[in-house]
Amino acid sequence: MTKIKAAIVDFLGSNCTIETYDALKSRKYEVEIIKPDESNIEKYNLIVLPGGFSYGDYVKAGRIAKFSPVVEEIKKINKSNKKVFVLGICNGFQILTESGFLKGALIENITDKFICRDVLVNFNNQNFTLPIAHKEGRYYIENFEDIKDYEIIKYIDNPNGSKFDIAGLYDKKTLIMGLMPHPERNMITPFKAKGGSIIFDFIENEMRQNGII
Amino acid sequence: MKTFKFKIATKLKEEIKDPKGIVIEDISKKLEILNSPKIKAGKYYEISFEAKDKQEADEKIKLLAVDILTNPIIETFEVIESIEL
Amino acid sequence: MELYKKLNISDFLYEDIICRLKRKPNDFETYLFSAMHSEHCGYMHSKNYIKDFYNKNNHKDENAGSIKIKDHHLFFKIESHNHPCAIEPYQGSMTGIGGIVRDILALNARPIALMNSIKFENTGYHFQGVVKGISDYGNSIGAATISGETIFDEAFKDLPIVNVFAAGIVKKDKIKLSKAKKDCLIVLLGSKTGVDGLNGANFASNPLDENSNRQSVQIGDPYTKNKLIEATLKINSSKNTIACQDLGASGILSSTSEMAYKGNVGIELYLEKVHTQIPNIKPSEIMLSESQERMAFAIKNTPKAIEEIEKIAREYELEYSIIGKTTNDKHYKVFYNNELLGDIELEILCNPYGYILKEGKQNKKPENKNLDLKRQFENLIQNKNFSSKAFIYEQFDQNVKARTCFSQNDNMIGIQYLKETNSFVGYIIHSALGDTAKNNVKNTFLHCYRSLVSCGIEPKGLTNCLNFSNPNYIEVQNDFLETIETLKNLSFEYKLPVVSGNVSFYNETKENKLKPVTTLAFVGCANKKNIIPFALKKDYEIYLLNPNDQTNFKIENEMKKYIFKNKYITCPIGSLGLIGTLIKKSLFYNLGFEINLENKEFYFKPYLNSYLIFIPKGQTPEKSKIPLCYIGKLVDDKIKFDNLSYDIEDIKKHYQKFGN
Repeated sequence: MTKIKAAIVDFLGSNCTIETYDALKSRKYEVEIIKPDESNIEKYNLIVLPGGFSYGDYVKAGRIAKFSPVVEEIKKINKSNKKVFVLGICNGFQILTESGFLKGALIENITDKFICRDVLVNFNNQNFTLPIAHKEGRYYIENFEDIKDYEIIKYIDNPNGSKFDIAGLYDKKTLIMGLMPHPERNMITPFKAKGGSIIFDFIENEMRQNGII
Repeated sequence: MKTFKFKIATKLKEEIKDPKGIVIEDISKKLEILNSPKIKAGKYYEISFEAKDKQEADEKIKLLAVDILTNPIIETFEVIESIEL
Repeated sequence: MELYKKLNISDFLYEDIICRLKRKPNDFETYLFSAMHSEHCGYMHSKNYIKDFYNKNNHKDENAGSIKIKDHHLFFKIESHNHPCAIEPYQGSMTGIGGIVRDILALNARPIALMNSIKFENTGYHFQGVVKGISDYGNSIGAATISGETIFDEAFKDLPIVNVFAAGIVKKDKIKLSKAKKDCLIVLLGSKTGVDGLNGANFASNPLDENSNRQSVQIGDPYTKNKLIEATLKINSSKNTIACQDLGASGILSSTSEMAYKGNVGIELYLEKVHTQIPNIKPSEIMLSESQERMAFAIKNTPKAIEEIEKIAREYELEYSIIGKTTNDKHYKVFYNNELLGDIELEILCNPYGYILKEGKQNKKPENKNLDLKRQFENLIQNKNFSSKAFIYEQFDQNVKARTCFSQNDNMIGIQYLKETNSFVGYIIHSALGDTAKNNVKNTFLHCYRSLVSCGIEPKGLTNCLNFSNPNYIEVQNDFLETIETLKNLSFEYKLPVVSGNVSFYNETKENKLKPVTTLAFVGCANKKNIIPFALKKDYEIYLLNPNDQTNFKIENEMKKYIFKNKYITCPIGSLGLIGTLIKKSLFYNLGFEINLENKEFYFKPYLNSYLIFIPKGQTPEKSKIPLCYIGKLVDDKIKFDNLSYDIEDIKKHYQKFGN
C-alpha cells in the first residue's frame, strides 16, 4: 500500500506544527510542512491546518490566514472533482469557518477565558477524551438546519457555550473536517489517553471510501 | 434623573506599540487594499445610565473610563458621542 | 539638578564612576551608567553573594544555566517581573514571560516549558491582569505552562509578585554562548526600537511611587515573539553566528556591552542604523529602550553571513539592522551620524560597584497561637489559598507541543517527555511563606525536592528568584544574607546545582514593605519505568512516612530510596498542612478520608517533614528504614479526623469558591 501523503500548512504564528507532524508520522504518513503560499497542493491526500495563533489572532482568530494562497487552492480543489481531505485543528478550524469552508463561526468562549482541559466528546457512536486549549472556540450558528448535513463531534459536557454542543464538524461532501479539540496531543505522548487515534482511524476510513487512498 | 447614552473608544497611546494595528497594516499593504496605512486598534463601548445632569454624567463616564476601561499609563479614551435620551 | 541625580544615581556611585573613569561622564554616558549601574542590571547589592552556591554547570556567566541530559542540555531560569506588573499587570506579565523565554532562546535552546509563581492581595485588578497576560502570551508562543502556583495574602497589597520560569532544550554541540569575538558585526533582529519600556532597569531599581510612569511599561507582542523564536533558533544554528544575547533590561545597551565584555573585545555602535518605531527618538532612548521582541547577534563579517540573516529575517517577516561591529580595544563606543557620543571602558561599564551587606537583627514574626483543631479546620477552609486553582491553571495551555505527560490538570507536578533524549523531566516551582527567611528557604527547598521524588523523579538542579524589599534596610540585608547562606548550605548538602538565579530588590511602596519571598524551581529527570503517576481510589490506606517530623539529608535520602524502590503513590505535605494537602489531593477524585494522628500538632503544621503514602487495601507496605505509620484510609463522603467529621459536599463549596 502506498503511504498517505500529508501536508501541514505552517502559518506564521502556528504553534502546533511540530506535534502534528510527529502525530502524522506515527501513523506512517509521508508528511511535509508547507508554507501558506504553496500552490501545488493537489499531490497531497491530506492537508492539515494546525493549531496556534496564525498572524497573532490579534484581529480575530483565523481571519488573516484566510487570505493565504493555500486557502485559495483549497477552494479550487473544492470546485473541481479532485479529492483531498482537509483537517483543521483548533486555529485550523477557525480558519476553515472564517474562509467559509464550514458554516458557522467560532467566537470567544462563554467564560471569556482560555480553557485548557480534557473533555469527553462523542463522535461516530463513540465517547472518548480529547484535550481542548482555546479562547475562541464557542461555535455559533443560528439554525441547526444549516448544518444538518454535517457529521458532528459533540461535547458531552459543553465547556465553552458552543451552540448544539458542537466541538467539531465534518462535511462529507467536501471532505473538510474542523475540530476544536486537539487529536494530535493525545496520540504520541506517553501516559496520555489515545483518543486522537480514533479521529485519524475515521479520517483514513473516509479517505479510503472516497478513493483518495 | 435623566438617561444619558455615551459612545466611547479606547486605544493605546500614540507612541506606544500597537501589535494589532501593525498586523492589520501589514495585511492591508500586502493585499494592496490601502496605501501606506497607519492603523491604531482600540475598543468601542456603548454605555447608557442615569444621572442628575450632563455634568454629573460626564464626570461619571470619566471615572469609568479612567478606572475600568483604561490604564491611563498606556491608554487613552475618547468620547465619540454623548446624548441625553 | 544635575543629570545623574535625576537619573537616580547616588552621589556615592557617581563618585565611584568618576574615580574609575578619571573624568566626569558626559550626559549620554550618564544615561548609560544609570542603567548599567542600577540594581536591576548590575546586581550591586547581591553580586558579591550569589555566586557561592553549589554549581557544577559550566554556563555560569550566561543568560541561563543548564543540567545535562544525555547529549542535550536543558537550560532553565526564573525571573521576577514584579515592578512592571504593579503598574500594568497585563503587559507586565506578558513581557515577563517574553523576557525569560529570550534568556533561554539566547543559548539556542528551544523553549519547551513555562511555570509561574504569582502572588496577590486578592483576586482583583493585579491578579486579573497578570493571569490574562500569562494566558494571552504564554499560550501563543508554543511552550507549555507545565506548572505554577498562586498565593493570596494581604502581605502583597500593591506589591504583586510575579516570578516566571522557562526551560529549553538544545543539543550539546548547538549551544550558542553570548561571548562576542573580534571582527564581528552586531545585528539587531525583531521589533522596531521605540520609547516603550524606556529605562525600565532604573525603574525596577527603586521603590514604586507616583513617578512610576508609562515610559517604563513594555508592550508584549506574542506573535512577533513566536516568529522571533523560530528565526533565532535558525540564526543560532549557523556557524556564521558567533554569539547571541537577548534584549531585556536596558535593551541595546546591556545586550551589546555584555556580549563584548564577556568576549573580551570592544564594540562600536552606529545608532542611526537601528530600525526605530518613531523618527525623532533620541540616542539615549535608543540605547535604553526596552521595546520587546528583539534579539542581538554577533555574526562573522562576511557577505555570506549577512545574506543568511537577510534570508531568515525575510522568511519570518522580521526587520533587522546591522548596528555595529566588534573592535580590539575593550571600549564601548557609541556613534550617531559620525558623532562620538560616548566612549567607556567595558570593565567600568559592565562591572559596577558591589556592596558589602551586614548581618543585623532578626526579623521574626510571633509564633501562631495554639488553636483548637476545629478552629484550625475552619481557618483552613476559609483560607483563600485552600480553594481549587483550576480556574487559574485552566487558562494556561499545559499541553502545547504534546510533550506534557502530567500537569496541574492531572493533580500533579509538571512532567514532560523529552523526545530528544527519550527521557522524562519533572518541574516544580514553589515558595514557602512563613516566619523567617531561613525557614522559608528550607521549606521551599525540601518541598520542591520531595515533590519531584514523590513522582519518581531524581532532582537534578534548581534555579532561584529572591524577592526582597529595600536593600538599604539592615533587616533586609540580614534576611538576604540568611537566605543566601541557607540555600548555599542546602545546595552543597544535597549536591544540587543552583544553575541560575535572579534577585529583585526594592519591592516596597510607601505603606508596604515586602517580607522576603524565595521562589525556587526544581528540575529532575527520570526514565519511563521510574515515574509514579498520582491517582487515588476509595479504600486506599494512608500511611505517614517519617512521622517524627525530623529532617536531614540522610533521612530525606532514605525516604527517596524507599519511594523509588516501591513506587507507592505518595505526596509531600505543603503549606496547608497534612489535612489541607489530603483534602486537595483526595477531593480531585471525589473522595474523603478518615485519619487519626498521635501528635495533634501535625494535623495542620505546614511543611511537615513527611510523605503521605497511599497503599491499596489489603497490601502490606514494604519494610522501611524510616518509620512508616498507618494513619487511616480514603472514604466516600466524609472528612474525619480526631473526633471531628465533615461532609465532603460542604467542603467542596469552599474548595470551588472561585470557580467560573
